[in-house]
Amino acid sequence: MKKALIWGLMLIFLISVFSGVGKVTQTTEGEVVVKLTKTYNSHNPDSFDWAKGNYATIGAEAWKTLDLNNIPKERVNDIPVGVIESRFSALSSAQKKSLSAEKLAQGKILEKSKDLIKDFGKKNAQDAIEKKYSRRVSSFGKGALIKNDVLHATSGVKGHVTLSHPGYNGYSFAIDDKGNIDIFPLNDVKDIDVPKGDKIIINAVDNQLNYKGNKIKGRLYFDQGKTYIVSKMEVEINGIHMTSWKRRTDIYFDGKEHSGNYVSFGFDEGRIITEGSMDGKVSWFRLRIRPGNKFFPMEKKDYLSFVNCDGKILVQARPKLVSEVTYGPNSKGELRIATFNGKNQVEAEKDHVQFKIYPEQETSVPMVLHVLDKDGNSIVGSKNEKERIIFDNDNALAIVPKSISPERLECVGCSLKPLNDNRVFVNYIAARARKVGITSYSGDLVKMSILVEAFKRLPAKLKKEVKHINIVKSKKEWICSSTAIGCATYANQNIYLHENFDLSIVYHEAAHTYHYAIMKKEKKMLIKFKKEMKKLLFKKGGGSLLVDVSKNKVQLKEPNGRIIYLAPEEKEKLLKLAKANKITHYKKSKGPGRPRVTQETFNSKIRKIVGDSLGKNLAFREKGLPVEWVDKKPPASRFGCTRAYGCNNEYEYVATFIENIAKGQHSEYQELINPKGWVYLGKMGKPIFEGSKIIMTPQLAKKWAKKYREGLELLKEEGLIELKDYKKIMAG
Amino acid sequence: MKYSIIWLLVFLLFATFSLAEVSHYYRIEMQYDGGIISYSSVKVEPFAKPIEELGADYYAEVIGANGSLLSTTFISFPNFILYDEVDKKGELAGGGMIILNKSKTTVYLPYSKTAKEINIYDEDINKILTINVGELSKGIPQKITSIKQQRAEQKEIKKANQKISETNPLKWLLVGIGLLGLIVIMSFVLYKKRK
Repeated sequence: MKKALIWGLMLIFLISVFSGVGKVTQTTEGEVVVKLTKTYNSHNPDSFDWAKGNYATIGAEAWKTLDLNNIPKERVNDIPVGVIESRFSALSSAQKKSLSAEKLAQGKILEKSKDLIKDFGKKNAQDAIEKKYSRRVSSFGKGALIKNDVLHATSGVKGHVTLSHPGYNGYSFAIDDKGNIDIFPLNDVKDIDVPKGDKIIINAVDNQLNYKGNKIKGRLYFDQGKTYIVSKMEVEINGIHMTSWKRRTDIYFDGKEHSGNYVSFGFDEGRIITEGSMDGKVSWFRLRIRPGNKFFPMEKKDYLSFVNCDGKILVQARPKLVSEVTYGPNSKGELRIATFNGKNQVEAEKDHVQFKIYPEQETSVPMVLHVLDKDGNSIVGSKNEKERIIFDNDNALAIVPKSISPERLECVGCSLKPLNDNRVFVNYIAARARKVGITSYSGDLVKMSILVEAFKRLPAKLKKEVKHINIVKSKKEWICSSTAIGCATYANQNIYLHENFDLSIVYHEAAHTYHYAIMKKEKKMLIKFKKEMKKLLFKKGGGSLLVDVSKNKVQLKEPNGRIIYLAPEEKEKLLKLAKANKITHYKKSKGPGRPRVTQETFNSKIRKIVGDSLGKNLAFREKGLPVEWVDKKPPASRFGCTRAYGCNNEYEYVATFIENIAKGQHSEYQELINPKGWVYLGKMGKPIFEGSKIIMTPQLAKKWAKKYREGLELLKEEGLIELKDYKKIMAG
Repeated sequence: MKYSIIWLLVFLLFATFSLAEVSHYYRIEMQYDGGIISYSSVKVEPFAKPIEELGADYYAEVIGANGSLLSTTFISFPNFILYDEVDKKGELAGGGMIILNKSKTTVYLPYSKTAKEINIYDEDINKILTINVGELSKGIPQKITSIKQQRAEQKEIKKANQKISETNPLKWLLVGIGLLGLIVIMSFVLYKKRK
């Protein structure tokens, strides 16, 4: 019995020593209390004091299975790194958040999280990354995680960056809500190097950076070893500013050709190549040249940019000569590129080039521009000569034949002024002018080289009626309104153009001269008919005469009212004469009064088509013709007119049609002649303009579409639109 | 003898060419003032090629001594201009019409040795002006006989304006035919001479 008591006491002693958990005692109130121990006892884990106990006493095996929920958040940092790594999911949210940055920075704890902010909180995650990688992440967007030392954005475009990459020393990172990871230089860091796999944006908006020896300013995108810019973002590389609209454009630094939408810089070779395609939606890529670039001599006031919608641009710097720019179609055979150089805008589209003037801009940059078709032939100028467009530094540009050597005009600091005295150039212009149908011209020959491009786009009949073109520099010779850019004179069918003219104004004024010619032809017909009728009255002793073509009626009366007999063939002859002269009704009453004559003129036909809309629904303008609709809002084309300005009168109605067609905007009319076109559908069931009581209905759409169809038909009949243009519109 | 024939042929060729080129016109300085038409001077001038008729609102009839109608030419006065403006972006954005109540113009009508008068009519076939040209029908005035001088003047104006006039294709056709003829004749003469 004694022995048994001794063994029993021994057991109690041992248990109390090894358990580490408090002893089970009884309080004065009679409750059972377990006394916690500071030492972990795997046989009695409940006795371990998780708050104050010694975590080092917990064995590796115990860590594998013990309930981590027992660990208060204040003690989570005492959990061994390996345990946190292996049992990360067993940790509660509060426990994870309580992990210190120091702890997080150890081992692969950070990599266990699928959402750094959610698990650790922003500050802890930031501090941990900074401690571990010496990188500062200022924001985590909508979520981020780290895998194999790579920080991944978990939402949006899912950017990712190698935190351990030495090239990022001195940079900070920021993840935005779209999942982009921007990297920013800190302090005086200048160079950056991006590993192939990273998907990041170099953000050098505030600080210029060096990337592969190139000066970068702005946001430059990287993904899968490719460098690019995206829509609405901008970046400047070595003085070449780039921006994009609804397209991604890849950037290369090898100066070689690539595929897709790209720009390739060969700074050492002095070359830039860019190619792009709209792929059925409006998108573009713009290169804006800025001072400090290696290709064009630029001053502060200079402006030069290239907007590539469809096509390929090659910029080639040349020793002693200004840079040469070549436009051509892209791999899909499409070409739509615009150049903005000083006040000049040159648009290459399909098979033609448009020239415009931007009065707001400052000065131009000297360069040479070639515009080629798919076969490598020059689109500007004549087919036989390989012409180029030369810009000087004073907003002048000229189309110059190959026969004038580059050394004379393309040298740095050269001017285009000597061209006016260059016999080769004078002869070239004269030949081209004749070829395109310009009969007489006065003014600067450099401007003339551009003018001939406009004439290439005009119908032959129309060109014939432009009797002389004056490009006027001095105010003395200017006969148009002081605010005008151009005008057309009725009597001699001359066009006056301000030296800053663009091709639109040439088309517009040329249309006016042809309009005059049509009116004059009809006036002559009218006078001739009146003359014949006067002769007839005199010959027959008539007092009154009536010719009504619609009723097939001719009635000649003596002054006393008695009818004078006219043989049927005489009547027929008179009716035929009336029809030949477009006369529908002639009435001369007895006495000295003037005859009343109705002639079916070109203008009356226009009025018949447009109805009573001419001069109506237009916004008030203090001086000159209104240019906007009363609501000052789109759509531009209404009531059968091309735009508000065209609804002022018959002249502008015609000129706005001709201008648009010469510019190649056939698709606009393809829409307008279709009652189911977007122009009508967009307004269906709504007032045709704000404040109008007229609602767009399918019936009204049909009526308007008919007006456009009839308008185009009339212009074609009169020779103002060529058959090929008419067919192109109607085929659409 | 043969050389004389050649020279004669050359002379004839160029003489014919010169004669074919020149046409004479009445040059009338006219004024328009609120619908009233008047003239200040009439001259006769030679022109290298026919003057195109661009008028339409009035017409002038050149009447012969026997009252016959020699020619009819339509005329207009430069009193109507359409002008257009652009905005800051270079887009057409405005414009208007200039209608002048007063204007001057030079009217050219085909000259005739037998002309007595020139009558000008309005669009309602009312005679509004008569110009007596009987004096000018006695012969082309001395002043204009110097075609060379006239041409030199015209050339100077052309040069000053850097005017590029359309080449008359007929002129070059005649020159071509002339030269071809000359070559044929000369070849024939040389061939005969060798024989």
